[in-house]
Amino acid sequence: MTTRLDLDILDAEEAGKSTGAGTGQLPRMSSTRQKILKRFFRHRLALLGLFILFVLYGSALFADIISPYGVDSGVVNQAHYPPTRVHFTHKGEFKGPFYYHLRRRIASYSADGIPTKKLVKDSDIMYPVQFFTKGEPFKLLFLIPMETHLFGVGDPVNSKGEKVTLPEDEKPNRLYIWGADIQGRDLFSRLLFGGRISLTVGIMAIFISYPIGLLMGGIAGYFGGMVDTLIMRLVEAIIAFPSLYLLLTLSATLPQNLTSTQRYLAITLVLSFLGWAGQARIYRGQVLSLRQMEYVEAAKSVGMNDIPIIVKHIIPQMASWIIVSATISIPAYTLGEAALSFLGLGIQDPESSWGLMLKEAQNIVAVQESPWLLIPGFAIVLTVFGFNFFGDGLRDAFDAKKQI
Amino acid sequence: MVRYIIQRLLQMIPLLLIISFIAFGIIRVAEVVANADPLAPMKMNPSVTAERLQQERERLALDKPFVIRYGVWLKNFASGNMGESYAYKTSVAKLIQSRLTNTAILGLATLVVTWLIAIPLGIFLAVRQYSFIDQVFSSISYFFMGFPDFFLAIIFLLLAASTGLFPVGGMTVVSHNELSLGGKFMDVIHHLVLPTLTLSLISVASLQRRMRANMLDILGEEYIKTARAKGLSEDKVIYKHAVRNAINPIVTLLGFEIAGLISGAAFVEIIFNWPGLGNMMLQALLGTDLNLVMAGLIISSFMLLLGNLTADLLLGFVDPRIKLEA
Repeated sequence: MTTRLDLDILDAEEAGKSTGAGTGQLPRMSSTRQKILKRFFRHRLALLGLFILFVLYGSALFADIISPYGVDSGVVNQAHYPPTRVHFTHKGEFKGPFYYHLRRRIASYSADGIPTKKLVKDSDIMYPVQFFTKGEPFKLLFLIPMETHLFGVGDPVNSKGEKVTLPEDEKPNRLYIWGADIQGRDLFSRLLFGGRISLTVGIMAIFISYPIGLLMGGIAGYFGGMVDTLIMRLVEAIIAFPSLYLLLTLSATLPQNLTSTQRYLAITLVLSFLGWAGQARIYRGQVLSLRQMEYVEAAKSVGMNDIPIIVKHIIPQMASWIIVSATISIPAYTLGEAALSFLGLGIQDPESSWGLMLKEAQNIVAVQESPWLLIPGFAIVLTVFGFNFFGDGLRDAFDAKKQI
Repeated sequence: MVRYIIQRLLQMIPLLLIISFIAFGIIRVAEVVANADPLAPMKMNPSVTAERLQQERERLALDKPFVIRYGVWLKNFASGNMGESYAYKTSVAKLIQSRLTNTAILGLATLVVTWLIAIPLGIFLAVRQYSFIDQVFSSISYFFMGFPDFFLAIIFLLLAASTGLFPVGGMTVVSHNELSLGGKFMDVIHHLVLPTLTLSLISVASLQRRMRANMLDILGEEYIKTARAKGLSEDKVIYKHAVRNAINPIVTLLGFEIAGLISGAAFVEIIFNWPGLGNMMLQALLGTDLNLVMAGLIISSFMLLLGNLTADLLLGFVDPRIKLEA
């Protein structure tokens, strides 16, 4: 794939030279690829974007080892537990990282006798935070079975370090870095696992919608006539639908009994169905002008068939443009998935996705009491910014006219 | 001009036919996949008689093959018979009319606020390119352009709930009908502030950037130099020569924005519980309210096409170089 790309870029450079761009410059011994990389690495925001994406995708890939708990493992009576406060010293004595036991106690009764509960700290029970501890089993990179997590929690101890037994109606407190959701599940863990869905949906959808859009646009632009009219009418119809309505309607058609993997794929397909039309329209315009180029004539004269000409000669001409526009349009798909899951038509519990997690934030009273429920929203924002920065940098790097 | 409009409207007909066929097809696929009875929501209502059920079955031609069903639906729809909403138990036409009005109120408010802020801001910043204030606003715009609307809506709603300055969703207070005319108006405005703000913030960000870019392009033109050279005051150069030309491409955006607001406002409507078209569509889809879903899809697509037409007409109106010919 990469070698192909290099060739295309070199082609583009030669095409640029023949039209007279870059004249008056001394010939330098650096390939176009080097120039593009140089321009990209000079773009500070693009590097920031790359860094953000690197962290996000890395954390999603290694979600099972970084997260202390599983995606659907919760403690029911620890619903909406706040982010855990980790201490280092107990009564002036250094103990290493640990936290105190919290229990829910009835604080007061309202006039109607409805109890208000409050979390009370028990300084006699402490949980040591440990690194590289055994936890729930998982498969690293979906292959290697492991039990070691980056960090976890030891058994509850008292201030002297002796084991304590909790009262019968209480369960050990968990380490909630970013608080717990309504089912007492660790938000941090769910966020990492949710990233696996939220961060990949966009890329998957691009890999489905772009080839379709390219081919359809290519065929429409290349052949013209009836085929063109037929395809473009369909494209116009899809574009004329208010996108969110079409998205909702399509998702509402999904049957309820899909497995989580099927559902994920179905959502991706739905998003791609909306995406290809816009692409097709853009490519049609480009192909219309490219098909009159001499090299297309040449390919035709040596007896090449139409579809191979589109795939082998015309589409590669637009390679750099395709890469940039794909990068820039990934956030739209990510937002689409988030929107669907947020409205309950996308990914379903117990699976996790950022939109689904944010669904809980629709309950304004709950958010007021547990503001950490908004964290998945910030993850979405961060992803969008990551891609925007990265895409902008990529565009500027590929855009030869912007050479400094 | 009239001929042009008529031709454009006529061109919409085949497009709307394709749209309705796709929509009908999607809903039919959903029925087959889920093996669902399209009249299930109606059957669950105990007040619906068997006779009424049979009537609806015949009206939708449910026993007939797909193509005939589509034909019957099309005939009904074209003659204004959109059927009845199963959930709201009123005629779909009336329901859509009232919901469309509410969406239009929100859309119009957003449009006015966006344009009143974005255009002057774009001009102001273009004249002060690379100044401190320009850079501050550029960063803010960049931030809001990438911000998902539904998340912004949640944050505003949270703000409303914690400060108590604005109502937490809805369009009117419970006692709306007892208010005086002025009171009613103020009530709606009060509820309108946050949804409008949410939608405007995002569109101001992008519109302002475009206006600024257009202005910068125009300010580099030769005729601006000429205007300065012949001794016109800077105000006249900017407001009479530059702005007038920089605004033309922006007018095209107006149509897209009208179109975008129909669909784009849906999320904000849902979160702020604004009784608009988007909110209605979600409820209709979740409750498989067949007549309502179909009508909603067609009407909203039609509005979108009208929005595009408006944009072209406006551009022809603003830019004398463009001739609208049939």
